[in-house]
Amino acid sequence: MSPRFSVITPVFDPPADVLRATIECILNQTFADWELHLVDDASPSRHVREVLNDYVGDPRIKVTFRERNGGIIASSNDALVAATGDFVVLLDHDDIIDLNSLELINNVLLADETIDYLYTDEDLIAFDGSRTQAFYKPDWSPERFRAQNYCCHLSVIRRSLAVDVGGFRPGFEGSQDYDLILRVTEKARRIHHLPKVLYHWRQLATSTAGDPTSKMYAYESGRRAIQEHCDRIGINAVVESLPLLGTYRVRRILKKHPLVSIIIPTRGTSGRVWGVERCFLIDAVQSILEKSTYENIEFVVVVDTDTPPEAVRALERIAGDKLHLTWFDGEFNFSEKVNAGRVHAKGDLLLLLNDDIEVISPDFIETMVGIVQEPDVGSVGAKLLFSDGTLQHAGHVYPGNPDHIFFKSHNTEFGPRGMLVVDREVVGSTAACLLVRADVYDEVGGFSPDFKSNFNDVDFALKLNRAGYRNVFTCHAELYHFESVSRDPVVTPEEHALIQRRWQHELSNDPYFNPNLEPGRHDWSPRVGV
Amino acid sequence: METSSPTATSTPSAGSVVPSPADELTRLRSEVERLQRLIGPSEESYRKLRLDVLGARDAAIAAEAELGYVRGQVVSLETQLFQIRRDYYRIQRIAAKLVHPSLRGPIRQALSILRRVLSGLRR
Repeated sequence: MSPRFSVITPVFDPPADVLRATIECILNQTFADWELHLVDDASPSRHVREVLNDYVGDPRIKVTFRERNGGIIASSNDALVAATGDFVVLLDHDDIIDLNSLELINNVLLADETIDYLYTDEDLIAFDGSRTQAFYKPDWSPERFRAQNYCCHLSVIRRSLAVDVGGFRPGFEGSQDYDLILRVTEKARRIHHLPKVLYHWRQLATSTAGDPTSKMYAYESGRRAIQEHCDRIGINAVVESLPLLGTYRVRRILKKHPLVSIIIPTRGTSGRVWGVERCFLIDAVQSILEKSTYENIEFVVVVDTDTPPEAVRALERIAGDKLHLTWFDGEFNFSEKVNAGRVHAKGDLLLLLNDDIEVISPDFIETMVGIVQEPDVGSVGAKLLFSDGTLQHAGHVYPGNPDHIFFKSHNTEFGPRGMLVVDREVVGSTAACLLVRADVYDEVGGFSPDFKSNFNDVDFALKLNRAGYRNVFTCHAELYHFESVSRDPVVTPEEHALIQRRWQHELSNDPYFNPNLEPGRHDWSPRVGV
Repeated sequence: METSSPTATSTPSAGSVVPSPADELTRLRSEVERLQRLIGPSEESYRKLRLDVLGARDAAIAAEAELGYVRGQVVSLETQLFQIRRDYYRIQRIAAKLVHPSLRGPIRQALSILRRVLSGLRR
């Protein structure tokens, strides 16, 4: 049976034409079974009452006039208490939704009765009335949601659940919806993303959409909402606001510092970086020993038998008793080398690391360990920069073929809606710097030797996904990765064919991409015709 | 093969004179001076040299970062160009559909004349 929708709209002093447009977009829905709750929070302008009175006779529209101004939370709760539908739809008094929105949402809810929370894509209505800045969102991404309220509009919540978790809470003004959705998603049986731009958020001088600094208190409310969420679900962390307004960092606090086995497959090669010749392996180990603040580590270095002996001697000298050398004399196979390293690793955590890296963030291991210790996390990837500061890795994206998100963009870019400066789920991360729990590594059978050179990390990530784990990328663990900027890694047609044969469906259905984005591109270009 | 170290010192035998700490200090200082003369650059200049190396490294990183910034801008502009070109062709296709078929020939001719005139003006 189709659900009934209760659209709840607290009203406070919007322009008359804007308020009318908001109400009309509900009145003209192609889906019939809805009610609209308009709660006027004692608007000082007389036109608000006049507009609302025009709709009082409609049995589907419930208008309430509060005697005294109580703020958005009180009005939202009034609307929620009065609602009788199966789902509440949150609509601001100056925004509009597409006329078929409720119909499309109904179709989704009918197909799966366990959905308790649903969100859609959104865009902005610019000051001149044009549509702009479409936000094509990922499917449910809890790590990203702890870093920014990316779900936001349009949010549809099962009413009984919204009431069960206590509705809108006083004290979270400006981020009351963020706080509510955090509590709802903690208990929701299923969360669904409908990848259609159904919500149009109007830019007004007084709204956050028009001026992000108009409600600065909202960002502090948001930070507190996330902090309480972390406390509730057992994430031992301190939540910090980031420079980009509305983005946050969940900084995990480590109670234990388990042994991290850093597995480095190497041939002891040298190259020129910043005008100086270096042996990559030696400088990588040296940079960890000098810069990393995490002490409980061991290096499991898997060396080819033709590695220069002077490199091995230098390694033994600098790493001392933290070093375990494993000799590898087979034909080149990256996966086999990593698996050989795992056999000799004593740590509960494995940090797979290429030899051509240099540490930037001294606490990169702590940052990654904090995340990987959560039981549903499969792997944690780090942000890797080329020597010129451009992005080598900010997570994988699989828009048909495996790719790196915003490859070769500059590190100073925020990305669409700040996606490059927040932690988030990704379909996979590069094995150039990847932290994984040893038991999880073993559970999925480690790296597949079928992928000797390329795509072994893609295959590994997808195996983790298949096993039910989420892979997380953290932008707060930064390292240099001196893979040549000018040279693209050579991928053979056989390797392409193999990864496609094994994971064709997954490579075209990345849950953190969006069907409205151009397939085959990693730069979030909207699809033709969208 | 075992080798003996030419700098190995023998343990003072019983009855030999043990130098006073002040004498030892003087002797060591003169030894340091002698070794510094042998090395060539003084410790101070060695430190400066190290600072120069580190400074050069920082300068190289900064220079490459500048280059990276420009490279990043190129990537961003390429993305924008891709999107603009794609939208342009899309609009062109939509416009072409809107024009009545009988008018397409004359419009094409007029555009071609206009293009020739404009290129003549540019010359």
